[in-house]
Order: sequence, then structure tokens, then C-alpha cells
Amino acid sequence: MSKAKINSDRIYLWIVNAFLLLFLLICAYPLYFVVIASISDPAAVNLGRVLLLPKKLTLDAYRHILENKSILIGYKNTIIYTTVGTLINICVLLPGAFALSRKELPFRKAFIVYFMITMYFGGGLIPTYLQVRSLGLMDTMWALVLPGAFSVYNSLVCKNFFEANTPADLFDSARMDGAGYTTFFFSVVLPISKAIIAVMVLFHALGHWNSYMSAMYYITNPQKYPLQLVLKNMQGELDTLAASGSVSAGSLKELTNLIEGVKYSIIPVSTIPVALLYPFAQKYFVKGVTMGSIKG
Amino acid sequence: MKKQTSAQQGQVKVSRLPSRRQIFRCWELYVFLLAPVVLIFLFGYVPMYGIQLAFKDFKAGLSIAEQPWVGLKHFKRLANLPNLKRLVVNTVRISLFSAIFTFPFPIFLALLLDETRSRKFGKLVQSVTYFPHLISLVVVMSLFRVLCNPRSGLINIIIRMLGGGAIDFFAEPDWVTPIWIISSIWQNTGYGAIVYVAALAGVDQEQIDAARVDGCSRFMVTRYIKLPAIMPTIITMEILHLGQLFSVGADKMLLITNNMNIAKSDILSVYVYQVGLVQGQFGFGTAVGLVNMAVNILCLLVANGLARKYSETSLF
Repeated sequence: MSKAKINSDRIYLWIVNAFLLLFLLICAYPLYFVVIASISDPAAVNLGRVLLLPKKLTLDAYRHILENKSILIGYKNTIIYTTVGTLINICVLLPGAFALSRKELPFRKAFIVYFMITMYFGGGLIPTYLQVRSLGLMDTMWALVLPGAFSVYNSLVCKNFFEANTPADLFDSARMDGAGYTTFFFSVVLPISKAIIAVMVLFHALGHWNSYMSAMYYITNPQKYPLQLVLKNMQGELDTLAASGSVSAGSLKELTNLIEGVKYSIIPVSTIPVALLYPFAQKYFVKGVTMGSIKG
Repeated sequence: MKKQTSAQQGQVKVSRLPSRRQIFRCWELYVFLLAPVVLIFLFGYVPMYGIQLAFKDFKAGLSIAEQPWVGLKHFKRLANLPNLKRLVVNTVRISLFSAIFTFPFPIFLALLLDETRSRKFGKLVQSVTYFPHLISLVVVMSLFRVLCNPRSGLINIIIRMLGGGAIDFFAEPDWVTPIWIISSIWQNTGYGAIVYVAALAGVDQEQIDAARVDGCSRFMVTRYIKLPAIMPTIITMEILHLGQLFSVGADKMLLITNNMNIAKSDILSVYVYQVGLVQGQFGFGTAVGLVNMAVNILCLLVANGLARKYSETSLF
């Protein structure tokens, strides 16, 4: 290869890496900034002095948040909703998808069509709301976990996985040994499906952790609000407080500063569990996207 | 959305109804399907029955079937709605602009990730850029609010440092679409890149080596081999976007909209929520939702037709 070409390639690779670094910084810096701003003196943040390192360390904003009952309640509720919701998702999803993956199942196509219709067509927001209400689920956890308990899209992903990973004669030989579908499912299929189970647990758990819309529709009792809804409402309160605070400066300055700090700290507080899990779960998240081939 | 049919084609054509014995042999599988069938019936099909409310006036205390019919009253009201044009224009503006402006970023990132010779650095970039996708919309929009705050926000601090005047981004109607698009790019670029990274991994290495021996620079390989190789994926993804032209999510917009920027943040899905659940006009809300869904399905069918014609994948 000519020297000129090697040189031009080297420059090219430098440019590639520079752009990658840019992507990295654009994604990471806002998050980093929020973290350092949350542990700095709000006054310094407002003056733009906190850009690379925290200034005048203070944990006031975090103390204030931990004193806030509604956040703690929201946290507790979200943990319960996420655990119960994901458990139900998985218990409904895996057996259902397994059944759909058995080609000898009579009326298999009819079942698939029955499920798939609801992927594209539904009653819409209000009829669904009225149905949840008439089932008496308003203001209960079940309104959050039952309507989406069976994910049709994910069941098709799992079905394809089972089809690809359980050879056709595997069940026949199991049947010779006297095993029925239930035994086969638990002792053969599940053990070889750990990867997809992990993916499904993560996606569903994340979905429950991050959702706020269904709680907004179905939950009216603040004691039952999930974390995300608490945060959303708090954001609104902070906005109004900050607006009034800036008008009457002076005595309210302290309060305003605190509000500014809390604004930053609620972001790490609500994202920490996801961030802690991420390094361990990352490969499954990536796998999940390619498993579903297009939509995740 | 994958090729659902390929799995079914392998099935032997059954010309007669399955025998009772065949059904009985699979009884355990029917037990497995019981919960999904019931759940989908309760929360998928029963609400479909409730669509008739679009043609009825809702009165508390009566069952859905007992509500009095009012014909097309709600649809006429929708057609004469002074805000209708604004709702449609805002919805289309957001989905169209966000499709146009967000799509190049994942492709660009994936190509960069495929090009870098430093594996570790590439892995790091991929991990970090994927992470925002896992953060909830509430938190992402909180982050943007904090950064855009006219007094204390980082963006306005920088603008002031450069000598400009502070902008209250969330109070300006003209900033609604940019906020939507920029936050989407920030949140979804790393996630969107995964599909293209996988597609790039399938590019024929021998072809690349041959081109290199023939004197192609790395850039030329990218431009003339890699990019064409992932073109089918790009086209498929774009066509799928088209299917969602009118389904702009209320979940994100509810976090952006306020009284000051309502002129451009008023969209169909938020309107259904406001008028239906907040104001309790169930009949009219159902009608608006029904129209929105009909348009969505139309878009989906068009997109699917295009996908069948121009790419190898289709939705159904």
C-alpha cells in the first residue's frame, strides 16, 4: 500500500474516533452534569461555575428528597408494581408462547390471529378505561399490571425463539419417556431458554419501572402513585414554586436554591437502580433488540 | 415485527378439522393458553365492543349497551372543531420532522462503530449511547427542563456566556418540535444503532478485503460497500416509521405541553386524553380516538404495502 493511502486512512480513523467521542460526550455529559450539579451549591450552578467538577459539595438536595414522603412511597410502590407485574408477565408469556410454538397444536393459527389482531386494533383509551373501571380495578395495582400482562409482540419473539431452539424430535423422545408438555416445558425448554427469559424479564421490568401513563389514568390515591408519576407531579410543583420564587427574591432565595438543587437530584435518585443494573444486564438488552429484529 | 409466515409455511396443510384425540393430546397447551386468551379478551376485545360509545351519549349508571344512540353527532362535532386543523397539523409535523431528522443518527453511529479499530472504545461508546434509552420519559424530560431552564439551565448559561439572551424553551411554541426531536435523538440514537450494527456485521468481509487490495480507502469502502449493504435495512426502518405517522405518543407530549406552548404542542393523542378522561366526555373522546386509530391503520396498511414492494420485510 502506498504511503499516501496509509496516511489518509490514519487521518480517516482519527476522524472516526473523534466523532465517536462526540457521540459519547453528548450522551454522557448531560447525565454527568446533573450528578455534579445535584451535589453542588445551587448558587454556583446557577452562575455556570459547575461545568466539570462539583463546587462547594452539599447533600442538601438529597437530604430534602429523602425527607420527602411521597418519593419514598413512590419508590416502594414502584418496586412492588415492578416485581408483581414482571412476575405476572413472565408467568403468562412463557407458557403461552411455548404453546404457540408447538406446530401440532390444533387451531394454532387461529390463536395467533386472535392475539395479533389486538396488536393493530383495539378499543382505544376510553373504552379500555371504562373496562378497567367496570372490572373494579380502579385505584388498585391490578389496573397497572393486568391490562398489559400478556404482550403479544413479545410472545411472538419467544415463540420464534422456542421454535428455533427446540428440535422437533426432542419432544417426541421426551414423550417416549412418558413426559407430557408440562414436564417437557419445565425440564427441557426453560433450561435452554435462559437468554430469552433474561431479556423478557429485563424489558418487562424496565417497562413497569418507567411507566407513568396507566397510573395517571387509573390511580387517584397519591398513596398508590408509582415513582414516575410522583416525579412528574413534582416537576410541575417545582416549576410553579420556582416561578413564584424568582418573583419575590430575597427571603425566598434560600427556598429557591433548594428547589434548584432538588430539580437535579431527583434525576439520579430515580435512575440509580437502572444504572446499577445496566453493566450486568447490558448484553441482554442488546441481544433483546436483535432478537426482536426490529422493534424492541 | 418479523417474518411471521416463514414459521407457518413449514406446517402441513390440514384439510379436515383436527380430531378430538388430537385436541385432547394437547390439553396442557390449552391450559397454557388460558391466561393469555382471557387477558386479551378482557383488555383487547371487550374494549373493542366499547367503541360503540363513539355513536352514543354516555350517561353514568347505564351499561354500554344501554346508552342512547346519537348517530354521528360526535363525528360532526369533531369535523367542526375549530382546533381540528391545529391538532392534525401538529401531530403530522412532529411525526414527520422527527422521522426526517432522527433517522440519520443511528446509521451514522453504526457506521462509525463499525469503522473504529479500537474495539474497547467502540464497546464503551455503544454502552454509553444505549443507556439513555433505558431512562424513563419523565426523567428524560425533567433533564431537558433542567438544562433548558431560562435562569439556571446549562444551555442558557452557555448562551449567556456567548453573549446571547436567555430563551425559555418550554414556553415557546416554536421550540416544541425541536425539543421533541433533540430529546428523541439523545435518547434513541444508541438504541437505533443496534439494528444497523447487526446489519453491518453481515457485510461480506472478502468483498471489503478485495476492495482494499484494489486500492480503495476506508472511506470508499464505507461509501460504496457498507452503506449499500445496509440500504435494505434503512429503507425497511423508514417505511415502518411511515406507519406511525399519526401515532404520536401522548406519554411524551404530556411532559412537554403547557399553556404557553399549546399552539404547537396540541396533538390528537393528548386531546383524546384531555377531552375523554380529564373532562369525562366519554362518547366524544371515543369518537376522536376511533378516528385517530382508523387513520393509524390506514398509514400502517400503506406502509406495509410499500414495505412489501420495496423491501424484503413486511409487518404482516
